[in-house]
Amino acid sequence: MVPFFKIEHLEKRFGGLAAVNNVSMTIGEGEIVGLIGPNGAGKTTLFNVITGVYAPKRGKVLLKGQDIAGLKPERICAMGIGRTFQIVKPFSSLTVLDNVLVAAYRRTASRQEATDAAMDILRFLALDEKSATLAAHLTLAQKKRLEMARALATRPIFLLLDETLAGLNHTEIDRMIETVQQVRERRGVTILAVEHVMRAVMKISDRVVVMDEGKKIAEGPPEEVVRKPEVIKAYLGDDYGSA
Amino acid sequence: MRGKVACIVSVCCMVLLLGFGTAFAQQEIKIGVLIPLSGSMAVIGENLQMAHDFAAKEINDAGGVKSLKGAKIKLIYADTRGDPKVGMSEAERLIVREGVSAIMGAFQSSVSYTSTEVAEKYQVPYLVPNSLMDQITERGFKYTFRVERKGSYWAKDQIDFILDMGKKTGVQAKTIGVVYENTDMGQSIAKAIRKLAPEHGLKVVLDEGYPPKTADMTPVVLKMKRANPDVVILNSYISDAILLMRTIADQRVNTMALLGSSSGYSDPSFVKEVGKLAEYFFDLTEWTTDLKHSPLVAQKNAAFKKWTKDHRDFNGGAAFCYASTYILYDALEKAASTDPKRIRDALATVKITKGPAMIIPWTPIEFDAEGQARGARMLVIQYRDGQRKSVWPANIASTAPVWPMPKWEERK
Amino acid sequence: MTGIIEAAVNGILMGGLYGLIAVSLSLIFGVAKIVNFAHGALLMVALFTVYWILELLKVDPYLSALLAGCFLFFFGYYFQRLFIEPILKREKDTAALTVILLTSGLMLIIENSALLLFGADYRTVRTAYTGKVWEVAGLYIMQPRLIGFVLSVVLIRLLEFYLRRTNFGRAIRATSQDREAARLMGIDDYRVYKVTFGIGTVILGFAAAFLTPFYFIHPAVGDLFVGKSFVIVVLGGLGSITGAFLGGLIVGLIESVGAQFINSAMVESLIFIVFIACLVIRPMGLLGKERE
Ligand SMILES: Nc1ncnc2c1ncn2[C@@H]1O[C@H](COP(=O)(O)OP(=O)(O)O)[C@@H](O)[C@H]1O
Ligand SMILES: [Mg+2]
Repeated sequence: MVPFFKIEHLEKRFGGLAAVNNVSMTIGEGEIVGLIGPNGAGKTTLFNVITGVYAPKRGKVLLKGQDIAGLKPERICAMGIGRTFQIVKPFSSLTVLDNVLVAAYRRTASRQEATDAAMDILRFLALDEKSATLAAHLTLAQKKRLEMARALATRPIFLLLDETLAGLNHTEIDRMIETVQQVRERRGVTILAVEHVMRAVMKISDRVVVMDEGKKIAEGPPEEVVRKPEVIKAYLGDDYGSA
Repeated sequence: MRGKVACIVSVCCMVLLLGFGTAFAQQEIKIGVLIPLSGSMAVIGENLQMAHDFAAKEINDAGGVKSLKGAKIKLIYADTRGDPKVGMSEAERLIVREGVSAIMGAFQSSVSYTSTEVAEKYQVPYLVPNSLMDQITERGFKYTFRVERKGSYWAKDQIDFILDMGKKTGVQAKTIGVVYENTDMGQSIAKAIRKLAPEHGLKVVLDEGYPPKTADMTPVVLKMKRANPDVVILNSYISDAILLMRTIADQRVNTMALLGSSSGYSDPSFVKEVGKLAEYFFDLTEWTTDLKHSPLVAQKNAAFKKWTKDHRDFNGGAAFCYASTYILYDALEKAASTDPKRIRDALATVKITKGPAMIIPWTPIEFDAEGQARGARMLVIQYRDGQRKSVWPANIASTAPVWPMPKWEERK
Repeated sequence: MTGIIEAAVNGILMGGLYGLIAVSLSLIFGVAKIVNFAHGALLMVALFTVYWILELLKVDPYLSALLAGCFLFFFGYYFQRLFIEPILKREKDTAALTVILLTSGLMLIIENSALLLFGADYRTVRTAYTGKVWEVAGLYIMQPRLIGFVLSVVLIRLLEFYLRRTNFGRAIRATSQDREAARLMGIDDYRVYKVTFGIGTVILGFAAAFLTPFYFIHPAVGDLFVGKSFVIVVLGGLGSITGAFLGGLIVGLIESVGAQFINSAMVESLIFIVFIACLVIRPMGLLGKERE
């Protein structure tokens, strides 16, 4: 059986720095996988390679067995990989609805269908009342949900979430966790989520992958992984470094 | 043995060749001509070249320089590329390498200004047919001679024309406007008018320099309309001349006269593109094909037209180059020598009253102590049925001027 | 007083055309971040296109805009495809400077080609509108300018509608705001650039058709507009369509009304003073967005 998603020996360098260094992993259909690691570990870069922003130096990215490494982002998007950004990037002078429509039109040429789909998603993310607001005028939490809405509008089968919770307060975090779970349940989307908020990682992830200095250093069920000495060392080392 | 014979034969050949060579050279007088023959001015330069060539051909066909046993005039062209520095080095090359006896050129004032300096240094006479810049003949040079009127007198001629028209028709201008492209040339004409006009009872009510590359002339024309001068003197390049003329007509700005200062207003594109709007427009110029002072004007223009491949008329620049070649020829006859100093002395004392040089509208042709042509003057044309008709001064004019210009509303 | 009103009216009418030309520049800059120094040369190409259509087909000048537009869309599209796109693809992050050098070079090539092809003659077209004037309360309003202005406003409204309401228009706006994000939404950025360039060139075609009845055509005619266009684009706010149009009106007004009070040679300086003052007060331009 071909795995749903698989990367093999992936490598991406910036000059001398191996931001992603020989990383391999497999994700099954319908899984939610947490991706953790200290700052600068290479998580965002890994996302960028998967989504085609960067071509890898070496290695494969296989979606349902097809190697997509090095394809253009718009092609990869069309193949069903969606993402959100660590630093939110809504099209700020477009309305909330237009933001989602831009993405929805990639899937249909029909105005009616696109609008219906967009409104559907906005309702799902409780943004429907804001549909006519300019994206620039949203709160951070709303912008994060808009990011999610936009990603969902491209109808992904696989969604990459980059620190969707960073900067949110307690209630907002709880609500977002719920949303992520619903995305999987209602829409059957497989998810790879970079997250720093451990409470959330433990709660949503079926499995956790840990990266440090470009390498994958651990993998397994959340409770086990966080106890591993190399993981603790990576995080503490990071703490010492920044102290 | 064989080698020796070959050697002797070849030496003999060389001696013979050299002998013929020098003998041949004695039948030729080398004259350098500095003009722009490449770059944006190339078209203008080629036109002048034809005029020089035509004059030289006529002179040589008629037996060359008689006082030098029929020696032929040989014109050696040097391309200035319109660059003052290149003009200098080419002048040096003509004198030192080519050994020319005299030089003519260099069309653009800036190039004439620098290259005459070189000729002065080497004491070779330099005849300037076309450049306007006053200073060219104001440096106490002994070897520089100019045929064209000094630029600073243009304004004087324009004012003279305006006053004269007032006297003749009784419709006298009291106010005047100057509109010009804000370049050296435009500014110097405007400056001269600012000074001269009040001295002759003309009030300057508009003095408007517009920047080169002005996209819209309407603001200037609206200002003109408000100032309402009796006469407007204009100095423009081509595109601005076209835009100004069209806008003046659109805005129905009525004046006694619109008077150009050559340049854009004498360019063939002007009348071609503005068409009927150019009717009655006056333009100050050095020369036209319809001048009546001498039958030579029509004859020589016809001959030039026949001789040129594309059957072109003389324009002012070409007519002056043609005449200048004859002025130099006259000096050569008098000097009876190829020695530059002798030719210079002859030029300083020419007094030409007949011959093809007389296509120039004044007699006699002679130079003052500065080397400036003494009688040089400008004339005024008026566009009539799309033609440039000489209208002033009366003694050389082919056509009676219409003054004042009809109002725009009264034209059809 | 009538003189000043007349000058103001003329300033607005001419400013509308400046604005339209600047809108094209602003659109291309805003979306593709291309500083197009060949803009004046493209305007010249547009003017010659209109000129030849009018000479050969003898249609109404305003109708010629539509025909010219069809040709110019592809001209702009392939201009981007053949010259600029390879550089963007090859150089990615450092392309901006190369593109400036490239477009400057292309400007020279296009202008010199036009000189070779069409000569240095100044050309004008006599249309049914040329020299026609409406007299309103003692003011002379030149017909082709008023028509050109009104159509420019309509055209800019249409462009805004296109960008706001259509599928591809949204993609253009999305790309202009965040190219990476747009690509990850499945938008083909290079296609957006090409189409945008095409649209920008079509706008120049319209500007050319509006100018032709009262202007001249010459290989260097673009030089008269290009400097002003850059000033207007920055004044209006980089990438802002309405801003560019508004900037055009302001520059037209200063130029026309200013010349009634000071020497026209000084008006250029006045425009720059207003320009710098605006930038000091609003560094992002009149309708530009703040950049983070
Ligand atoms: N565009 C880039 N150019 C050069 N270095 C980069 C670039 N993007 C990221 N990096 C470097 O790669 C490493 C990994 O960064 P990143 O993927 O952002 O880490 P994370 O998301 O895990 O915090 C860091 O050292 C970072 O400085
Ligand atoms: Mg990151």
